[in-house]
Amino acid sequence: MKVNFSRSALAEALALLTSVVPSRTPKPVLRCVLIAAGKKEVQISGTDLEVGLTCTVSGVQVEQPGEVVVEADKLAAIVRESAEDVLLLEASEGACELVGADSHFTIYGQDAKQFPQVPTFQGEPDITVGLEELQAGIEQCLFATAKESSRYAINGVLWEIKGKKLLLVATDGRRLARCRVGLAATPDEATAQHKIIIPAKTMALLEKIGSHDKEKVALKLLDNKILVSCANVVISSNLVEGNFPKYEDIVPADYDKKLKLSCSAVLSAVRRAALLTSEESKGIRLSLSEGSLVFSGRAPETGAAEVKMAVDYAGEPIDIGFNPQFLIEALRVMRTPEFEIEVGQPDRPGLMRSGADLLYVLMPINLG
Amino acid sequence: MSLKDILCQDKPISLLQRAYAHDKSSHAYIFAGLEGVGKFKTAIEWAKLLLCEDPVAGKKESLHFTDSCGACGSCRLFDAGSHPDFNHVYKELREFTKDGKGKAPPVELPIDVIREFLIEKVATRPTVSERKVFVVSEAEKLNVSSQNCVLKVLEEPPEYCCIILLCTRLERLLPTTKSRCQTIRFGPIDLERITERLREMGTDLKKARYFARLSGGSLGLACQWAELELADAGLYALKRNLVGSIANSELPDALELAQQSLDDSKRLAAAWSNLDKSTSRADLNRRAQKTLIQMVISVLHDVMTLDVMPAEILFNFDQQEQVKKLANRLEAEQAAEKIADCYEMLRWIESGVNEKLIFEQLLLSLSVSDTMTPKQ
Repeated sequence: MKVNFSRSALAEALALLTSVVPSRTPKPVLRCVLIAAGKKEVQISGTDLEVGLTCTVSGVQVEQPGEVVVEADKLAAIVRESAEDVLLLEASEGACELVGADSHFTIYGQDAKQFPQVPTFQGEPDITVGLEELQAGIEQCLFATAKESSRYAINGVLWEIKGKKLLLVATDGRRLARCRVGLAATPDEATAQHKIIIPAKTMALLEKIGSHDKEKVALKLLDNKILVSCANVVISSNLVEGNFPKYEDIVPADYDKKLKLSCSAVLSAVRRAALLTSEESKGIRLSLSEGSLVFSGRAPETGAAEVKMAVDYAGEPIDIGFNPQFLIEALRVMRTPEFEIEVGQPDRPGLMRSGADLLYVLMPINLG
Repeated sequence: MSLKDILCQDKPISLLQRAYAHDKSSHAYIFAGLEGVGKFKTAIEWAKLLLCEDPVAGKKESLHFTDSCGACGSCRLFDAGSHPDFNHVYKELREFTKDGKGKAPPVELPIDVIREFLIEKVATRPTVSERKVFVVSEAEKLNVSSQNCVLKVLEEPPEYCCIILLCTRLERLLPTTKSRCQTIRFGPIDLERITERLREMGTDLKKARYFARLSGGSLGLACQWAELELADAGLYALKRNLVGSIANSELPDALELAQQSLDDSKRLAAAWSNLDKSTSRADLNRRAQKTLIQMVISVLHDVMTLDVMPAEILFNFDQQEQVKKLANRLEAEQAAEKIADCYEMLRWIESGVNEKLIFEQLLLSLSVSDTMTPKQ
């Protein structure tokens, strides 16, 4: 194999791949990437056996096709540190040589036959969605997934298709984020019945791909995996097993205490009120009364904080406690200047909406 | 290698086969039995069968016997050791956990390994096959917190999962763990078969017979000893020496003998580490010490049974003179007590007691009740 690479394109591809390739694993071949040069194009693949990524590198000039498997970390580091515009990669049996203007590296490779197969995207996509919309959707729900839970299902993000919308739902049992992403076309019925749970790692990877926002993402839903194709990248991922909680049931629909608030003002108020909370009393109190909303925090041995805000509210007064961290994380990802908040009783979840597509349900804390 | 090539484990395998034929294989098994009797091999082959795309149904001794095909994509991946749906969980994996970099190999099976290599992996669906198999080696080393952590998964794994715990000491597992799994017992292997196998490896008949008897039916251990012997580690010579010294030594020599045994065990462990690169040095040390103590047990056992059994079937059939000499000084009951002491030492080795103390204690206890001084 003999290929001339544009260094920047190769570096970009390898940077993406190193986020998939595990750096420490009992199976050494997984630390590697497979570089396969066809007649005109070069594909680089890496996998951790759960998520696979294949990147087609642009700006290449293939002199001789072939395959080589080399350690991803080392290759990426060499490409990153090099200064040339063009790097020549030449691979023979078991070794790979990188030649720059003044440098010459030899990396010992592994047997290409031992490299696990990384699935490729073939055929027509089941659904298509704009990259920008999808990435916005991921940003708005990914933070709410459970980090470590023995209920496997909530370690991922639920994908559900309703009409011409894709719903992304994430929860950790204490809060839930749901956002809607518009699809390019209404999918057929068979596709619409899929309810799949995608691991958080894959979702985080989807957030990183793509060079410009106008690109489209093609998705293929198979029985036990999902394939994603966007520009020059194909991602395949296993799905998470398990039943996602029936989240519709916990979204309250009977609340009468509604008000519109400014995202930035509330974010600042919550942050300030949270400054004086202790480990034991983690919550802040939201006291809503006619014309005003007061955020207060209290740490028994340190002091107390209170932030007032004038609001347009005329209903009955109510006091409700929330974990400030959960409020902050949700407010941070909202893309509208204002959001709606609805509360019912102090022991029932609060509901936040931003625009038409983002819904956030948050369990209250008992402040005693 | 496939299921039918496994020696002398017909009962557990037919149990598995029956379950497979009725499509009632359990989601969690405990394979219990001595070290080196084929638990891991069976687990591997069973996993290969469960993952195989095109299992071959056949008959063996008029019973249904299904085996992996050995040719499908899944089997080829499996043989290459890169099947994504097969997961081997063992304690040395700690090095590859998130915070495990640079830590010494653990003595117990740490909870991090269980979390990252079992519980997290159970949640994602299989890639190539329709099932996913997890084999946990040395399950007796799961500590209480690791076992509690795994309970939820053992109780209700996703339907595609099969978890196999390999365990040499069933009493170390919590009742809650045991009740969630189907236990399959693996018995010791016929000594004649072991001798045959060692002969095939090129060991002399005399040595083969001794190692087979010493192993007590553990083919794995016997093979390891034979390999050591073939690699010129001098295991057999060491045994002859040891038996000779125990038979002839006097009380004042005990400490010197202990030091010598300790040196021997270190030498053995060093030779072992050349053959077995994947096991940690500390584990090999322990294994070598256990081998020496097993040799001592074998002599005492011979003393115990000398009067009631024909001399040909003694462990140390090749050193009958020495055994007789020792028997002159030691009653059968005393020998039985010493054996109990030796088993205590084996437990000490597992719990990491200083090795020098162990050997000193052992050889002193052998000499205290006149073992090493002539009977009055």
